[in-house]
Order: sequence, then C-alpha cells, then structure tokens
Amino acid sequence: MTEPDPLETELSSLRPYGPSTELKRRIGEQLAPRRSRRLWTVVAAVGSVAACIVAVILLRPPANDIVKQAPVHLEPANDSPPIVIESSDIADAFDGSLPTFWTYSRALADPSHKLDELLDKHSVTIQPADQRGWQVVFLMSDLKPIAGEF
Amino acid sequence: MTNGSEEWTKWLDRHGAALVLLARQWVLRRADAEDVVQDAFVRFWRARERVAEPTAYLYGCVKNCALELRRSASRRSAREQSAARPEAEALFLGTLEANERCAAIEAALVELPENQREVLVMKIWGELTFPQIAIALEISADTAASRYRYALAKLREKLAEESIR
Repeated sequence: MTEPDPLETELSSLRPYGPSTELKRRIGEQLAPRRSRRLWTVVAAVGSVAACIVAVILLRPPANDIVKQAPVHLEPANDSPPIVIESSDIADAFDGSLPTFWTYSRALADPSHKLDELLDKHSVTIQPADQRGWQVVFLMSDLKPIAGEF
Repeated sequence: MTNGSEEWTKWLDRHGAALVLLARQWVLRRADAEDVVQDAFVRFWRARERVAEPTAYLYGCVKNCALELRRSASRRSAREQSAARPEAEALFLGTLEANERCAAIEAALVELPENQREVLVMKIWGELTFPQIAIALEISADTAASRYRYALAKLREKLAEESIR
C-alpha cells in the first residue's frame, strides 16, 4: 500500500464553499412534485370553463322571452264571431309562406306586382274546404297601424 | 435508489460543494456557479434512473451546464463582462483569512490547464474514481489518471516556486 501523497492530503483538507441555502431552496422548488402543480392547473382550467358556461347561461335571454303576447281579440264590424289572433313565435312572423304583415310589406315593395299574386294565393288557400283552418300570425306591432279599422 | 422527496438533499449535501467548485472552473462568479449547479442538478435528478453511473453523470451535467453558461456569457459585451467580474471570490473556506498556504494553493490551482483542473477537482473534492471521471468527461480512465498526475506535478512545481519567493 502506497503512502498518501502529502499534497493530495493537503488539498483534501481544503473545504470548498458549499451550496447556499438559497440554491437548496431553488432546487427544492424545481424538484417539488409536479403533480400538485399540474392538479392546480387542471382545477384552474376546469373552473374557468365552468365559470364561462355559467356566465353564458345566466346572461343569455330566455328563448320564449322574445315575443310572448296575449291573444288579441278584435271585434268585427258585423255579427260574425270575434276574430282571435293568437300570437306566435317570431319565426312564424317572418315566414314568407304565411299571410303576415311582413310578407305583404315585402310583396308591396316588389315592383313586379307580386302583391296580386300573393293575394290570389292566400284567398285560395284560406278556403273553408280546407278544414285545417289557418293560424294567422301577427305581432302586436303589426296590428297597431291597422287596429283603428276594426 | 429511492424516490423520496428528501433523497435529493442527501445527494446535494454529499456533492454540492464539489459541484460548485467544479462549476467555478468555467464561470467566475459564485452566484453563476450556483445557477449552473441548480440547472445541472435538476437535469441529473430527473434522469438519474436512466443512467448507468449517476455520480459521473451529475458531474458531467455540471460541466456541460457551465460550458453552456460560459458560451452564453461570451456573447455579452466585454463591458458587461468586466462589470460582472468579481473582485475576489475565494474558492475555499478561509482562503481570504491570512492563510497564505491556502491562498497559494488556490492561485496555483487556477493556473492549471482546464482539462487537468477538472480531473483534480473531481478526484480530490468529488472523490470520484478514475473510471467515474472517465465517464463524466468522456475520456478513458487512463487519460483521467494521467491528467491527474500532471495536475499534481504542476501544482507541486508552482507551490515550490511560490515558497522560494
């Protein structure tokens, strides 16, 4: 067995500076279980999505809140039974196949005289032979300009 | 090797001082050396189960991280570097306290060629074997041993010169 080199022994006796507590803390932070960090990320993401969904639900206007009007009773000039016009969904009010105010306004604005065709069409389709009966759709705002005639 | 969360502190307590000293062979400031050790240690810890010789890998990581930092530092302007250069940050505890012999050893160590100094640090303060040093530095064990012998010889020579003065 060889004698230890005195220089080696002397060098070994020198103590280099150790890592600071700050370094240990930083390494500890980096080596901390990543699961908890990932879990918090997932929780935050899910929470954000849930908050967005709740916000959309709360802020969205109810679908049946668009047009919901009471039935309009109009007294006709003669002895015929009263005309009852049921309010309906706004989509029906803009259905071109129905005799609505909007349909007639469009036809009137058309320079190719489609109004006559439309009147003919509706006068034929609203025959008593067709026992189904038509549901004439008007909005209150549609009727106001012409309500004075009744 | 266990996966306990405190296991890494045992590694750092065992090798931390040698790792900081090794990093300081390439970066001057102690704070920079600690940054190097931090990056290297985290890299090592996450890969330790995939390497055959973890201790050698740890020291190799420190060298690589230190070289990366030095390369990025060399891109800075000379003015910035001179401003960042430390006045005198000792390598060893007590060096600045009127211990002339200790200061002489440190000065002689700094003058060694880089490839000899790194072997010396790993052998003396890291207590690595030559095969481990060989793995860390990607050289043969014989080369590591011969560099170590050259380093000791040069140190002896420089210290002898110093004592004559």
